Parts: sequence; structure tokens; C-alpha cells
Amino acid sequence: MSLSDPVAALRDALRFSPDNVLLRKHLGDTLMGLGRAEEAESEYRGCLSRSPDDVSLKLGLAQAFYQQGKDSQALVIVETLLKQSNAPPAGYLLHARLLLRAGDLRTAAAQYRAAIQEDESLADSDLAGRLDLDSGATTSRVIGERIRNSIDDEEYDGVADEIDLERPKQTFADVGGMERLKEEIRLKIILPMEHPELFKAYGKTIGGGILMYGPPGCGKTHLARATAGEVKASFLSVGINDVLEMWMGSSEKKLHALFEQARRNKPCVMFFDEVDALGANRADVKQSFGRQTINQFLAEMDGVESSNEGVLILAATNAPWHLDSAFRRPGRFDRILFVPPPDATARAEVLRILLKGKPVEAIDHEHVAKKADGFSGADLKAVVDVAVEAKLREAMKSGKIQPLSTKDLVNAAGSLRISTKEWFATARNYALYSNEGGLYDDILKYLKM
Amino acid sequence: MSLPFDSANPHTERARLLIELDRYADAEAEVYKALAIEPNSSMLHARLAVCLLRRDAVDDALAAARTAVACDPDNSYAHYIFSFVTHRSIDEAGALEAIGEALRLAPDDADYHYFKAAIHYDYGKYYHALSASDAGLALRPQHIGCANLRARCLAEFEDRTEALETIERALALNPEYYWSHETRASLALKWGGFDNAVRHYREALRLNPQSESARRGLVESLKKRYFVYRTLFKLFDWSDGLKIVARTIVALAAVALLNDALRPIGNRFLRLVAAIGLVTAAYSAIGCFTVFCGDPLANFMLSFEALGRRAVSAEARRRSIVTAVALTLTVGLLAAAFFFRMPLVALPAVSAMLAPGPLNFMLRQPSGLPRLWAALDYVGFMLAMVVLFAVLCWIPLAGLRWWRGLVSEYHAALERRAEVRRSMSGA
Repeated sequence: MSLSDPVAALRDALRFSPDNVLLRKHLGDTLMGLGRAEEAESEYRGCLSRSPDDVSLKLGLAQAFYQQGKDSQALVIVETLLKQSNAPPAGYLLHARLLLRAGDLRTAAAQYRAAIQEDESLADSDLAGRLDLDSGATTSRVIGERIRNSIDDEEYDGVADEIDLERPKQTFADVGGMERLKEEIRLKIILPMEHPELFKAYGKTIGGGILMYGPPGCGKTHLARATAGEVKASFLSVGINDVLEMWMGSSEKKLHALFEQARRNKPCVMFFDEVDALGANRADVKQSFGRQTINQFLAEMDGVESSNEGVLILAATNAPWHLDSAFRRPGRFDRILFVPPPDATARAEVLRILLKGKPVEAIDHEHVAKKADGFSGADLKAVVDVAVEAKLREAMKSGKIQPLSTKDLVNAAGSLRISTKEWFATARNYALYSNEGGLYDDILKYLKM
Repeated sequence: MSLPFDSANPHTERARLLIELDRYADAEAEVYKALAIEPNSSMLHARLAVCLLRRDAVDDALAAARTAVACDPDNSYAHYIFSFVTHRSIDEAGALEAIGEALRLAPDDADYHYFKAAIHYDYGKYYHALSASDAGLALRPQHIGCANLRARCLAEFEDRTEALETIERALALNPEYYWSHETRASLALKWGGFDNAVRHYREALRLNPQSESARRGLVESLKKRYFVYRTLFKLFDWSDGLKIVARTIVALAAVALLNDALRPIGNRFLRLVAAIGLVTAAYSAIGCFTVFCGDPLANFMLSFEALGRRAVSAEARRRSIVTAVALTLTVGLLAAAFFFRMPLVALPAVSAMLAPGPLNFMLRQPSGLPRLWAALDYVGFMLAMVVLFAVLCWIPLAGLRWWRGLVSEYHAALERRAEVRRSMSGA
């Protein structure tokens, strides 16, 4: 036994006390510190077979996966951990790193902020820099302070902040199915981008908006991000929290600043998620400042003060019936696309994409897709997650990685409920009784009515 | 429900706007954030109650509303919300007490008067509801909710002119308010303007496609256009108004009359078995048609027009198809039994007549085991019917046979006696 080699010393100790979880975990941590992630993974697995609910062990295993580049396995563990009430701050940090690798900078930044808020000592100037959170900050303490301030709404001074621009790596190839929608977007957005001279020759401006509506979890946001990736444009994602500030006038200023940011960074795809919250029917919004926001939004879309040339506006909503009809006028959201739950072919395609990089045996994707009739993209993700979690539990007990099978996925699909049913119950009523101008004909067609 | 404006806490304002946008889940999250800053804010607890109520967490909403009142007993809005939640938990006295307290603190708030009227109206106290809505309208003549309730109460008192005037005024004030169209439609339906009712219910649904009461009203007005349905509806209405003893006497009298009326036909064409079948069928026809079949058949008639087809719910449509098929089968089988003198065919005819109830029950069950059990129940029910009919038929036939045997035995005995007498006199 050599004291100069801590790993050897710990292994010797474990030989006498093989069931000592703490000692084995210490060995795993030490191996991780030495960059020997593969060996550490084995030790953490050994610990988890004895103590399967230990959060720190799961986190250790996820870190070992991360260091080996097994991101999908790491993600499964981290996402499960973060669902728990006692999620460790380091879990958020690891999640941020994993999301950064996956190209989802925005969520990564949010997770990094959450980690720092919980535990200041986790601040990582390198990571913050890569997430574009470090401009001007010199120490991690300063970064932490700045992030806390940005989180804390009390400190918001009403001045419009800019949103981090993304350069999404996803393209249409990463979107399963939705061929009709992709074609529409290609015609409306991509071709004008690629052949601007043709459009200018006919006096057509490049820009305008597409509104996507449909049940939640069917890939509207994913498609928007892929659109930006497809045209290699900047992607500015605007959520309700980015705009709905509650001071009089502040919303309008922020909205204007966001459009200006997009205009400065053209070509740029602006994506308004849950746009019904921003552009609600003016009759529904009782307070005057709400109406002002809507009017400002309309003015920005029309490009009253500045041209929107090269700025493409995509919006998504689960409740198009709450959207002010003024948004549907020509030049604004003049293409309104229904994003239905994926059909069987698309479901199989989505499953293929979701299972990429995961340990699988020969999967009959079509069979699983058939069993998952009516499932949205998010439901299919849940199917894969449930199947993976079940396999992971088995693997933790046995210490061996078991590949996912068709049966696992079919069982997982059988255990989940279709999340889109409720949406269609509401949508059906609007399509039947309030279908002015055939706005919801696609819903009726989908429902075969 | 109106939401007062307050701007001190940014989360409070955010929550208020989110509630206004019907995004209750997001609003609830904001309210919790706001409560972290102001844990004793009565207004925030009241808003939390609103959010919780929207996701049907009535008990939690009640607790939040109670806290809102406790935090500031002088906040009339907290009492108003407490009344709102209490009303949802079907506590009339509690709801009235709370709205009374809100009105004591803010007697000039028309919304509170309106809600008091709504509570009274929901419990059928139309006179009190009318007074409260009048009080609300006196404070704010353009209060559309109060005008709607006033019109509905006046309709209950059969004051047609005043009710129509009130609702027309409300519609003139805001023609885009769905509830006014619903009220106008319900008045038209009550007083026989069925096409007008259809028009207003359609408008109400255009403005609020989620209104279940408007959808039901539309279906009802479409059905009321048919004379047969209207007549049957009057019959239900009349029998509903009778006391249980009176209803039983009427039913028994109907059975006796039918039995007497149908027996000669049964005896002439189908003899005993068919007579029993016919009487049972006739009785079932009245019972089934009025209780189970009248409504589904009217729905079936609606399936031949586009508007009716859309308005009738999927469940009601299925029930109507099952009923229509079963009744067609019944009529066909009975006709066959009658014209071709096949008394036993009356048996499946009666079974088909009684089938819609259990069949619809079976189809309402979730697929898989529950539906299988319901189907087995149904098969059991049908077998029981067969046994019952067999017994009903066998007892009279066996009795007749016994009687005939007795009579022929008596005749044989008489014959024997006569023969003996003849032989004795000959000797």
C-alpha cells in the first residue's frame, strides 16, 4: 500500500470493507479529480447499487458520464435530479454545461443562474463567459452579484435589457415530420433569404411573420429554432417574462428595444413564444397599459419607425383564439399554421431522433409510433424518458447497461396519458362556433369533422 | 370578477395581469413570489384563492380566502372572494354572510350586489335576486351582469315585457357580451321564439365557444322546433310537477287502460302470448319513450341538420344512434309478430325495446374490462328477461292445460255416468 497513491490506498481499504459506500464514493470523487472518469463511473455505480437514492452519488455518476462525453446518460440523471425538491445546486451547474454542449445557450444560462443563486461558490467565470454572462465582470463574485441582480425583479430599473442572441445548430433535419410546415416556412422565410434579389426585383420585402398554433408540446418552439438554424440567422427568443413588465410604459420600451436588437443583428429570426399573452385580444385586456403594449407590438411589426427588412418574425401560441385579430392582418402574421400532433411517420421519426445516442437494441420505431397514437412530441419525449428511467434503475441495481427495447418503449407509452386531448376539446369548440374566415379549418380537418 | 389595481409589488401587478389574461397557473406562481415579499397581504391571499379556484382546488381556495379575510377584515374584496369561494363549495348561508359583510364595508359596489343576486338566483330565490340586481343597477345602470340577472328573474315571474326590455337594453349596451345573448335566447326559448333562441345561442357560442350552457341551450332550441318533442316535453314537465303518489296513480291507470285497449287485438291475432307481449311492449313504449327514448330520438333527428349535428355532444349522439336502431328493430319485430302471426317474435322485440338503457350504459364504460363487465351484465339482463317471459308464458299455458284437462275429465266422468245410467235403465 502506498500512501503517495491515494487511489491504491483507497482500493486497499475497500478490499477490507467492500460495502462501505462512503469510502467507495470517496474513491469515485478522487478518481474524478484525477480525470479518470471511466473508473469513477464504475465506483459510483457500485455505490448506487447499495444506496440507490443517494443524490450526491447520482450527481457523481452524471459528472462521470459528462466527462466521458456520454451526455445523453448524464442528462437523464441530471434532469431526474432537478425534478426533486432537494436538487443540489451543482446539478444545475452540470445541467448548464450539458445544455451548453447541446447548443441551448439560453436555458444553459438560466440553469447557471439558478446554480449561482443557490450556491455562490459555484460561479465559474469560464462557463459564464461562454454563456455570454461575463462581459465586464472580473471575478466570480461580481458575476454572481450581477446574476442575482438580473434575477431579482426588485432591482429591475425599467430600462430595456437585451436578450441573449442564439445561433441555433438545429436544422430542419433535426425536426421529425412536419413536412408541410417546413415547406411553408421554406417558401416564406428561407427562399427569400437565399434569393433576396429575386424578391426585390418583384418589389417584395423580405420579412413578415408566421404564427404557429397547436396543442402544447408539438414542436412549435423546436421548429422556430430549427428555422433560424436552417437560414443561419441569429435567433432572438422572446418569452412572456421578457416583455410583460408591469410598469407603465416599460413594456413598450422593452419591446421596441428587442425589435431594434433584431434589426441590428439581421438576418434575425425573432420568436415570440406564447404570443397570446403579449398580443391578447384588446377587448380582454382591461388595463390601458396592456392595450398600449399590444399597440406597440403592432406598430413594431408594421415597421412604422424602422424597417423590418431581414427580420423574420415567428410566433407560437396554444391559444390563438385569445390573439387580437389585428395580428392576422397582411404584413403581420399573415401565415397562420396549425402544428398538429405528429402523425405515425413523424412519430417514428421523432422517436428515432430522441433515441439517438442512447443504448438501444433493434427498435421497431413504427410499432412504437403506432402504439403512441395521438402523442405529441413532448409526450414522445416523456415516453423515452420513462423507458430510460426504468432501464437506468435496472442498470443501477445490476451494474450493467441494458439497452432499450421496443417493449420498454411500448410499455412506457402505455403508462402515459395523451396530453393534447384537453387542448383539442377546447379547439373543437372554437373551430365549430367561432371559425371566422375559416381560421380553424385545419383543426376541423384534423378532427375529421 | 373584477380585480382592483395596486402597483407596489411588481409580482402583484404581474399576477393581476396574468389573471386578466386567464393564465392562472402562471398567475399563481407570481402570487407566491409576491407573498414571499408581502406574506400578510390580504389582496394577495384573495388572488391566490382566485387562482386556486380556477384549477378546482376548492378547499385550498377556501383556506386562502379565509386567510385573506383574517389578514384584513376590513378589506371588502377579501370578503367578496370568500363569498365567491364559499358559493362554489355550495354553502348558501356562508356565501350570503360573506357578501353581506363585503356590502357592509362597500355598499356602493355594484359587483357585490350582482354577486349577491347571483347567489340568490342560483338557489331559486328570485325575489331576493331581483332586489339585489335592482340595487346593483341603481348604482351602475350599465352593469350588464345585473341586467342579465334582472331579466332572468323577471322571466321567472312571467313578466315578459319587462324581462325582454331589460335584456334588450343590456344587448344594446354591449352586443359582444355572450351571456346577454344566452339570456335573450333563454327568454325566446321560454316563450316559443325557437328560431330567435337558436340565433342568440349561436351568437353566444360565437363569442364564447366554451359556454356549455349555450351549447345545451342551442340543442334544446333546435329540438323544440319539432312538435312531437315539444308535446312530449310538456308531458314530462306536467308529470314532473305531480307528487309521487299522483304520478304512481297516473302510471297505473295508463297501464290498465292500455291493457284493456290492446287485449282484444292481442287475443284476436296473437292469442295469449302475443297479448302479454303487446301489453308489455306498449307499457315499455310509454315508459321508455318518455323517460329514455324521447330525448335521444330528438337528438337523432338533429343529426340530419348540420348545426344540430355539431351541437349535440358525442356522447348524446352515440346514445341517439343506439336508441334509434333499437326502436327501429322493435317496431320491425312487432310488425312481423303482428302480421305474420309469430307470437314468439314479440319476445326479441321487447328485448330490443329495453336494450338502449343497458347498451348506452355499457358504451359509457371505459374500453377493456369495465366495458366487458358491463356487457356481461347486459347479457345476464337479457337472459333474465327471457326467463321471465318464459315463466310468464308458461304459467297461463300450464294453467289452461290443467283447466282443459279438468274440464275434459269432468266431461268424461259425466259421459261415464250417463253411460252407466243408460245401461242401468236398459237392464
